[in-house]
Amino acid sequence: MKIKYINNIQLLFLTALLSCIGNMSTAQRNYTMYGLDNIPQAHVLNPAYKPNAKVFVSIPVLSNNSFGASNSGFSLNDLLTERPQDDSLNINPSNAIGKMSDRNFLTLETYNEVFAFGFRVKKNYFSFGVTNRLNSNFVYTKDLFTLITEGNGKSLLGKRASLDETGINLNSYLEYAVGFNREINDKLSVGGRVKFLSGMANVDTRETKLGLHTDATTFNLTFDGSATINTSGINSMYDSLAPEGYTPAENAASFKNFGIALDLGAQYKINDKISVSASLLDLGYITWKEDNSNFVLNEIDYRYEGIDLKEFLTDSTEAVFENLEDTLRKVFSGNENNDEYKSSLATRFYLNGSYQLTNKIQVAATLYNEILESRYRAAAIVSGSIQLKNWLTATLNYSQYARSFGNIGAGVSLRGGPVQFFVVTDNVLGFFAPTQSKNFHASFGINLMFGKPD
Amino acid sequence: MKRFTFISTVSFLTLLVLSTACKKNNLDKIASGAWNPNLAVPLAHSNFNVYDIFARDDSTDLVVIDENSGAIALAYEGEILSFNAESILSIQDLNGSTDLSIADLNAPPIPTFNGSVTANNTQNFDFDAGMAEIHEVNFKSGVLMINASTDLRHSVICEITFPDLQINGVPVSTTLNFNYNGTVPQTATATIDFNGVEGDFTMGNTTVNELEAEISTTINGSGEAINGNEELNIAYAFEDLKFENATGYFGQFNLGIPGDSVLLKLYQNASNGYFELVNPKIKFDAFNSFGFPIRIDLSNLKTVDINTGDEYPLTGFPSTFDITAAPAIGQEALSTFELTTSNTNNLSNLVSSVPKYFVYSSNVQSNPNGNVPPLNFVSDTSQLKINTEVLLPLEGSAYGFALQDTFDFNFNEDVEALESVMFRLNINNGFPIKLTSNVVFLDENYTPLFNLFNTPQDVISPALTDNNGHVNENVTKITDAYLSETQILQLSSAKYILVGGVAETLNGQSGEVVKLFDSYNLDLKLGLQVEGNVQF
Repeated sequence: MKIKYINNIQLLFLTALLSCIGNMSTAQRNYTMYGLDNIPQAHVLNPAYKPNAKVFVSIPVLSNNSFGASNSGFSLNDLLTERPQDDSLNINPSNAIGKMSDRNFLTLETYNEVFAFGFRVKKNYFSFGVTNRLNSNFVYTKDLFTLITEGNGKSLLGKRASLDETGINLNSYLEYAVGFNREINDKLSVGGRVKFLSGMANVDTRETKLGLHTDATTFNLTFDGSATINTSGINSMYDSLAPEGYTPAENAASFKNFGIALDLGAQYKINDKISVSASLLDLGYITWKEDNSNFVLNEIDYRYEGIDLKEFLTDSTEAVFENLEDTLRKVFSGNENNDEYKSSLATRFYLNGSYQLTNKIQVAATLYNEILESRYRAAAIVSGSIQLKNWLTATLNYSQYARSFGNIGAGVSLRGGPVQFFVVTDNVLGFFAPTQSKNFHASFGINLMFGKPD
Repeated sequence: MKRFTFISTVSFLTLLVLSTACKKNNLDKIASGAWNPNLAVPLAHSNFNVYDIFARDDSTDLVVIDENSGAIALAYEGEILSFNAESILSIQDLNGSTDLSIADLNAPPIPTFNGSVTANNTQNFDFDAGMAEIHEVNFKSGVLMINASTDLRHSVICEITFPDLQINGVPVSTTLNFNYNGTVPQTATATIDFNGVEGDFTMGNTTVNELEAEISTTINGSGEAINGNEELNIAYAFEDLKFENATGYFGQFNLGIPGDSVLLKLYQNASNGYFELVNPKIKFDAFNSFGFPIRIDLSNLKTVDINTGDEYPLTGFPSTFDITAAPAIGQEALSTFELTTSNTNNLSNLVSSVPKYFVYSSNVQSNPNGNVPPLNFVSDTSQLKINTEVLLPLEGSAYGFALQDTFDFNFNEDVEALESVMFRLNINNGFPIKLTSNVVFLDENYTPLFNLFNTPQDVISPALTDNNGHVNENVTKITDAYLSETQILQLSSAKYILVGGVAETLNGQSGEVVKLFDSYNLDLKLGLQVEGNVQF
């Protein structure tokens, strides 16, 4: 568990770094798996789903592993432009800036199923799973990117560079889920999962209202805004006084940072051809109590006009800069506390309608919705699935998400005896053309299925 | 058929997407890139008022404001002369003696003397106080030591009284007792402390500097003989007499004053130029706590340009400055003497050529009218102090007023990462003065590396004035100074910067008179814009 956590954090920073330089633009929402409802893990996306087999057992470590990332701001192609004289590529941040909206998202999600099993008892289906989850969302403004790439002396001169709402929201926790599914009648199935969460690390940017205005004439710099950031379990990453050898993974099973969440789902067959389904996922929260550090940057409105020459003429240079340092320290002073706090999960819900073209082919339309920190995002997916053999099912979809069009998702599940293998992605282009993609996603896993898996 | 159609469609779309994707950018083709951030930051700022500009160096620079108009003047002060009481009056130590014979003691020669005889004698003391004629003195210290001896073989009582030396109205007196015990000579001593003694040295308004002692002796016979040649010898020593105050006439004495000067800091960094003030003034304030009048003869007043050595003597000025006596002991009298354009021939011209120093010399004489009433007085704290003040009301015109100064400079940053540098000087000027300036970067040998401007730039534009010379509109001037790539590379070699400028009042060459008021100020902002060039 410890190793997994560290890998997650490393992966997060690696992804953030790569995304910042435009190497990839990726995302994961698992729309494709939603349409591949013959694998047990579809139950995670809609608790009303259940596998055909009477018993399912995941193979530890090799069961459902999912990784996804997304950068809504730009793709690598937006950052690289061909030189007119040859086909070499120039790094062109201004082109990337032109593609951005005022506020952009860099998200990362990993889902590592440690162990899971499920079994059917008549019309009831019971499941249990332990999953290591990491969700992170870095919100950055176009102005922040502009400030980094071209400074404040070009397009931001005379303007306020807005860093409002910039921040990181990160959740790393271990999820212990108990699921129940029941066929109410021939048409309706409902299900739910209760999830007990043990938080490992969290960064919760509650508020950032930050801006930097550069006066076009005098170059005076005006800083304004305030910020509130709660963190848990990351002290050891930056605080030299933190206990040596301590890792947040130690909290994985302790439930010191306890949370609870609920998944609900329903599936209704309107007729033999048409069915609809819906699910609500990750409705819950975690109360963070262990290794907390909360930072509050008080409201600031400070204008820096340079060194006061009168001070400079009367004081020593060291004294002038000490005074300046004291002033800046006062202006940007913040409060730090270790209070407990709650962070909500990124709640999602799916709405799906499917039509059975033939016995083997099904088409569907899915609406994906996500609410994170009062922000709503949606994706629209159309998909088709085909069961070529009893042991072979494939699906293909098209989605629009994060101002990214042309995402082609695909997935396939294979079964040989009791062993089922699956691999899905929400964006095939993420593999073949990473420079054009804003989204990347892959899930794969191996399950053991017993008792009429077809 | 349906299945075939579906599979075909999906396959086509997949191939289309993949083929489109695969033809796009190959990351191996990324050329070396450059990061060119452009940063604009404020470097320095300040708002300068008249005090900051004209009285920055130290507190002896004084900006004088007219309470009614707000008009300002610069006052540069110096202390011409200060001498204290001891240089005026000093009572010298005095030694004296009295030898009283048998006749003076009223004792006839006799083989056996058992009776008692009394005699009275006097002794006068004439004190040396230099030129001073002392009438009365209140002493704060000093002693009179008396040593007496006699070869009389009888007991003697000798009482010495100074009627004109009193403490709390009682005359100072001391008694010497000679108790005969069979041996001669007999000796006796006494000491009188002068602390608190009040002395009258006029002997009843008949003379000065004199005291009288009354000596009363009584001889009590011991049965021994009086031979007729015995004596009573008394020695007096007045030592370290210090006065608290004194009256009298202290004479006419002269104090030649060596030349001294007042630094006119307005011109300190000026090397050239024409400067004309409407109403300059040189003012002398004398604070006299001596009880006698003093006359100062101003013998030589001039300004000196220490750069050129040129001297500009003041002419036509009234040379006599009479200083009145203090009204009473412990008080002082203020006497003022002014030299203006009205009572001199060329005072305006004297400050028109960046003179740097005002130089003066003079002679001082006490009691210029001789020994005339009232009497002089002096206390131990009396002094004469004469301050001079060169007052320059800032009303006039100037041009070609060249200023320059050199500052240390050190810039050891990695300049190769700088592609361009631009300094922006933004000055909102409330003074009716223009400044044309240039900055020269110098190496360690003061050899010029480059000039900031190809030609001197007007970095400060003069504020506009009304018909009375009063500013009614500030003027803002923005000056951008660009450094070329070559100049940027030379920055690390620069060790000094020479900032030079030529100031001119609004239309100064036309002689337009402007006035400076305390409400004027100058707002300066210095910004820097740099563009980096980081290759990767």
